[in-house]
Amino acid sequence: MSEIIFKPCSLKEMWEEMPNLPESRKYMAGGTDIVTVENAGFPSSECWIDISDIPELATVKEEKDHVFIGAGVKLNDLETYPFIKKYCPALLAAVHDFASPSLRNMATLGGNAGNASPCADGVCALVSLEAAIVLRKGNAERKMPLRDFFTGPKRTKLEKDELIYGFEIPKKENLLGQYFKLGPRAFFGISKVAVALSAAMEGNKVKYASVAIASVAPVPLYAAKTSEYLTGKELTEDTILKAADIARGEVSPITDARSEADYRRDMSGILLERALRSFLN
Amino acid sequence: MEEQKLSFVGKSFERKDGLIKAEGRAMYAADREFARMLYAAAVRNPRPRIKILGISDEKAKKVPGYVTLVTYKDIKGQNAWPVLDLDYPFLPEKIARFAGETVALVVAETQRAAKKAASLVEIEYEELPNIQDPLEALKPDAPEIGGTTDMKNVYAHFTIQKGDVDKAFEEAAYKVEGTFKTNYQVHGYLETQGSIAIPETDGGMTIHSTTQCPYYVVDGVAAALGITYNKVKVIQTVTGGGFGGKEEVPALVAAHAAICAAKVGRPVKLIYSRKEDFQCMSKRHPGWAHIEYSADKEGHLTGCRVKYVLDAGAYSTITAIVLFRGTVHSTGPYKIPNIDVKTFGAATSKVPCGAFRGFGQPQINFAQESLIDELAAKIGMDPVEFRLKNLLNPGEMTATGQKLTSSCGLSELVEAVRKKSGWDKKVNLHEKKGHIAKGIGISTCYYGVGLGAKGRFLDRAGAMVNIYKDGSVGVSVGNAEMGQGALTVFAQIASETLNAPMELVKTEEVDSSKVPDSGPTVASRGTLMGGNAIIEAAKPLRERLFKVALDMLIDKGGTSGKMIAHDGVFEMDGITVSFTDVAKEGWNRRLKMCEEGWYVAPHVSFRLDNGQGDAYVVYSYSADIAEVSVDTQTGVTKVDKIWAAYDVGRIVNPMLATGQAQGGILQGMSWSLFENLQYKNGIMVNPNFTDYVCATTKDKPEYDITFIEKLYDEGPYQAKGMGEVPLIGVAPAVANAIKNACGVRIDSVPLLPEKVWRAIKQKNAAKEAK
Amino acid sequence: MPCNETMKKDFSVLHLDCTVNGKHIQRDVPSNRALLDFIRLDLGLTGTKEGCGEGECGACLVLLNGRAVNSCLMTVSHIQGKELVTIEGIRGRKGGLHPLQETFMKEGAIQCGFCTPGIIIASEALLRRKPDATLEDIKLELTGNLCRCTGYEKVLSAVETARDKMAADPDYKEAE
Repeated sequence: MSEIIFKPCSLKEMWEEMPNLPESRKYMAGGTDIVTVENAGFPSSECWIDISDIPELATVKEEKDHVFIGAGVKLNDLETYPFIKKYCPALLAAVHDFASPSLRNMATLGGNAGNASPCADGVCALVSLEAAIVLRKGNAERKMPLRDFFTGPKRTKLEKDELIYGFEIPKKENLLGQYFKLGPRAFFGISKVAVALSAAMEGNKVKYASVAIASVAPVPLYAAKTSEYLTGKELTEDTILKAADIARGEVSPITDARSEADYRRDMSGILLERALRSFLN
Repeated sequence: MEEQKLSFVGKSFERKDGLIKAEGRAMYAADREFARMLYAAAVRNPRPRIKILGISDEKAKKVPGYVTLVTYKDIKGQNAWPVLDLDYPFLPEKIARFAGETVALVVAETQRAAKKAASLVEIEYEELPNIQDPLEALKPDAPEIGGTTDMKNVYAHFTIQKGDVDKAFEEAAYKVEGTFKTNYQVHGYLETQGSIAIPETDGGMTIHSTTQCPYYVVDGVAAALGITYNKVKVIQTVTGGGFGGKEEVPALVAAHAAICAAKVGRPVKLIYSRKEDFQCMSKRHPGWAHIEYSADKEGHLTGCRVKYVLDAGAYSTITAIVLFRGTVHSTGPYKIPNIDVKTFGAATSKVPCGAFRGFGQPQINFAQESLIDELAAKIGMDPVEFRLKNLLNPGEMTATGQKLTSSCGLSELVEAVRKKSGWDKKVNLHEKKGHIAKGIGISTCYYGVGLGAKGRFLDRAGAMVNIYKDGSVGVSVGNAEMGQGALTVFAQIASETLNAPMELVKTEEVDSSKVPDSGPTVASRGTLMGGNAIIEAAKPLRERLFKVALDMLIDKGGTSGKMIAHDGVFEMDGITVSFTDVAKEGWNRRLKMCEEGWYVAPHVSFRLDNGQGDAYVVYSYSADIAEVSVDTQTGVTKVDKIWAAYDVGRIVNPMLATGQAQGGILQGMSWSLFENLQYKNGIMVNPNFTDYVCATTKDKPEYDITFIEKLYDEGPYQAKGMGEVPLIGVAPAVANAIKNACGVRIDSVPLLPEKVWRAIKQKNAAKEAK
Repeated sequence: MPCNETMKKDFSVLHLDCTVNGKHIQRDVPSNRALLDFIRLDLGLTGTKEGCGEGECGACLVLLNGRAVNSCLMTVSHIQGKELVTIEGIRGRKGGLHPLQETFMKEGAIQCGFCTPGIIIASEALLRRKPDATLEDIKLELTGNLCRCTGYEKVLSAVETARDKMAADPDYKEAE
C-alpha cells in the first residue's frame, strides 16, 4: 500500500491540490484492482488519490444524442437507470458477469478502463456500444473512441495526472445487447473469452451490429470486420456461421494459465453465434 | 449385538461452537493478541532450487519497526523438522529446494512492517539443477534433488504382489489399460496458516496454532528449540478449516514462530498471507498412474497391474503414508485374485505435498474407476452391473488379502444410488437438447479408517472427562475440531455414556498439556479414536453415577430396582432424579469425578515386502452417481446432481454428517472440474483465488445423500469414520458421466472445458475421416 | 462527507468521521490505513476476517451504507462520512440474534466458521435490498463468498429460512 492517500471532495479541490502531492501518484476509485496488481508484482505508487466519492464522477445522465456514465459510477448502480437499459443493453448484460456482487458495489467503469486489462468485462461491453472515453486534466478535456484508448495490456493513452472522467455512449434506437462469457466457473471469474454484441434489428435483418471480444488480443478487441460483415445482413444460419468464422479470424489469442489459444479462437465464434441467435425472432 | 436405545447419539444437535461463530466472536489464531507481541514474516526462495550464498538485511533494516533477521544460525535445537524423515530443515543452511520455501524470517513491530522488511531481505544465490516432472525424477540419468530411500529421488515405494498376474493377463478374455493424471489440489481452508509463540520464563514455549495435529506441533517446536516436551504447550485455536492441510505443516509454521520468539524473548505472531499459503504449504499430490485390468468372459475381474507415481515435491514430509494409502486402495474395491502394484513417491523441485482429504486415494480412484468403466464398456456390460459382479462383500478379500469381516455395505450402497438416481432408465438415454448432452456416471470406493499399518504407531488417543461440582461436564480430548463438528460429536458421545444433558457438556479445544499425545486428527479417525477414548474415560464415571442414581431413586421411594437412564434423567417407577442432582450427590460422597481414557486401535499386521496383510482396522464405503450436462460446443461440464451413499457405521449426528458429505462432494467436484494449480519453469503461476478457482454457490450440484449404517462394534457407538469418503469418488463419477454424455474419455483431472472440447473435436474428425 | 478539512496538509493523516456499528467515531488515522487493519486492529473487531486479501473469498465483507463490500481491498478513506456495519453490529431488530444467525446455527450452515461472518453480511445486504429474494437470487448474491466446508447447501437453505422468518415478522417488514 502507498505512503499516503489523498481524498478530495471535488474535482476542483483535487486539481488545486495536485501540485502539493508527491510526484508518484495515481487515482484510486473502488480500489478493487490495486491490491491484486501489487501482489502480481506491479509497482505501487507513493500517493493514491481516492476519487471514489467525488459526486461529479458518479453522475449518469441522458443527453440529446448520447448517454453519459461517470467514471466513478458503481457497477451495481447502472441497472437503476431506465435509459441505460434502453441504450446500453450489452453493458447491463455484462454487469452480472462482472466480478462478484460485493465487488460490483465498489468497482467502477473508470477503474475497469484505467486498469486496461484485455479481459475487462465492462470495457468490452462499452467497446461494443461504440463508447467514447472522456478524459480530463484540469480544465482540459479530450475524447476518443474507447476502442482506441488502449495501447496494450495494462497500457493506455492516459497522460500523467489525466483523469478518466466518464463515457459517452451514442444513443441508438431499438438497440439489443448481449454479453456471453466463458470463465473458469459459472460466475465470478476472469474470462477465457467473452463476446459483447450490440445490434439493431428489423425483423431478422441486422440494421446495425457491433462486436467486441475480451481476452483474445492485447487489448479489448473491437471486431471491426465481423461488425461490418453483419451490418445490413439478413440473419440466417448461414450468416451467423459466416460471422463466427470472421470473428475467429479477427482474434489473436494466446495460451496462458487461463486457457488455450485455439480454444479461445473457436469460442469467440461460438459465443458470437449464440449472441446472434438470441436476437432471432 | 442388541440395539441400544440412544438418547444423544444419532441426533442432530446444533454445533457447540455455532453461536460464537455466528456472532463473529470465535478467536482464530490471527485474532489473538498478547502483550508486547511482535510479528514475523518469511523471506522466501525466489527460484526453484538454489545454493544460498548469503542473506542480507541491509535494506530491510531501514523499515520502521524492524527488529531482527532470523536464520538457521538462530536455531538452538536440531535444524531438521521431525516428520517421518529428517530431510526438511526448519531453515535451509546451504540449499533451498523449491520456490516459496522459507529461507529466513524477519521480526518487526507490526505485521505490515514485517512483510515489508521481508520483501527487502536479499538472498544471494546460485541456481541449481531442478526437476519439475516426477517421471523425469525417476529416470536413471536425472540429477539427484532429493529422496530418502535406497532409490534416487524417491521418498517411498510400495508393492502389492498377489497371485500370478502375467498368467491372468495371458488368459484374459478382456483387457484394458490406460494412463491417468490428476493435478494438485489446494486445500483452500478459508483461514490461512498461522501460529503465535509465547516464551515462558522457564525457557519453555506456549504455542497458539491453527492445526488439526497439535502433537505434531509439539514435536516440531521441541526439536527446533532443543527443549523437552514438558516445556512445550500447544493450544489449538479455533481452526478455520483443515482438510488435511493443517496436519503436518502447522508444525513448521509454529516452529518458525517459536525460533523467532526464542530469539527476541517476546511473543511472536506469524500469520501467512494467502499467496504464501499457496506457495509453500502442503497440497494434494499430483498423481500419475498406468493401470491395466483383465477380466474373464463372464466379466469377473482376474488381474490388475498398477504403476502409481505421486509428485511429492521438494521434501518427503508424510508422502510415505499418503502413498501407502494410495497403494492399498489402488486396485479398487473389487475382488481381484491376481495383483501387481508398484508405487513411488518421487521428488521434484516444487512445493512439498502432504495430507489432503482422501490422502492418496482420490488420484488413483479417478484412474481405476475411469478404467473400470472402459472395461465394462468393452465387455458390453452396464457399469453398475459390472461393479456389482466384482465388488467386495463381507467375507471377501481385499487386494492386500485382508478379509472383510464386518461392516461392509458396498453393494447395498450401489443399489441405493442406482435406484434413487433412476440409473437403469438414464444410462442408455444419452439425452441431447441443442448442444447440451446429458450423461450419468458411477464410481465406488472403500476407505481404510485410521492410520493403518504404516502409521499404526500413532494410532492411539486420550481423553479426560471431568464432572464439576455443579454437574457440568468438561471433556478434554487430543483430537481437533477444525470445522467438521468434533466438539459436538465428542460431547454427544460423552453425554450418551454419562447420561448427561448435552447443554451441560463442554468439549475443549486441544491443549497438549492436558491430554497425552493422541496422534493427528486425520484419516477419518477423529470420531473413532477420540470417541473411544472418551468412552474409556467416562465408563468408570458412569458406573459410579449410575450407582448413586440408583441409591437416590430408592431413597425417594423407588422399589422395582429397574432404573432407566435417558436424556439426562434417571427414572424408576415414575420417580426421577436429574443428572445434575446425581453429580452433586456424587461429590457429596467424595467420589472420583474425573477420569482419563486411553484407546489403542486394534493391531493390524502387514508385510511390506509383498503388501499382504491387514492394512487398516476397518473400512468405510461410498458409491457416487453423478449426472452432468456437457455443452458439446464449449466443452463446459455442469454437474447437475450427485447421488451418494455411504456406509460409515453409526451416524452420531445426522446434520453434521450430511454437512460433511455435502462439503466433501463439492470439494471433490471442484477439484474435478475447476481447480488447476500451475507451475511454469518451477514457479507457481496462480497462487491466489483469482486464478485458482473453487466452486461457488452457482456451481454446486444438487445433493442426494443416503447413509446405510453398517454398525462397527469396535467404534464408539458403532461409528466408523466419515471425513474423507465423500470427496474420493466424485471425480471418476463425473468423468464417467462425461463419457456417457458425449462419448469422450477425459483421462486427466481437472476435466477442463478445453480438454472436453478438444476430445469432442478429435472424435468428430475421426468420425468424418471414416 | 469528505472535504478539505478532513486531511492534514501533508495528507498523511485523515480526520476520520464515520459510524461503526451505530457508534459515531471521530479520530485521526494514517491516511493509508488499510480498512481491514482499522477494523481488526484499531477497533478490535476481529469478526471480520482476512481470507485472501484480494477480494476473492468474501470473508472480509462488511456493510458500507447498507451494501456489502470487500474490506480487504479498501482503505479508511473509503469509509469517510459513511456508515459501517461489521458482523459485531449484526443484531436482531429487538436485540439478540439476527434471524440469519439463528438459522445458520440451527440448520448446520456453519462448520469452520471462518466464512460465516462474510456470508451473513452478504445475506443481510441481499435481504435488506430484496426481502423476497428467491433461491436463485441468494445463490447469485453469494457467488463472492467462498466456503470450503459446507458445499453451500445448508447455507442457502438457512438464508431461505431466515428470509421467511423475517417476512413473517412485523419487526422486519417495516425495515428501512
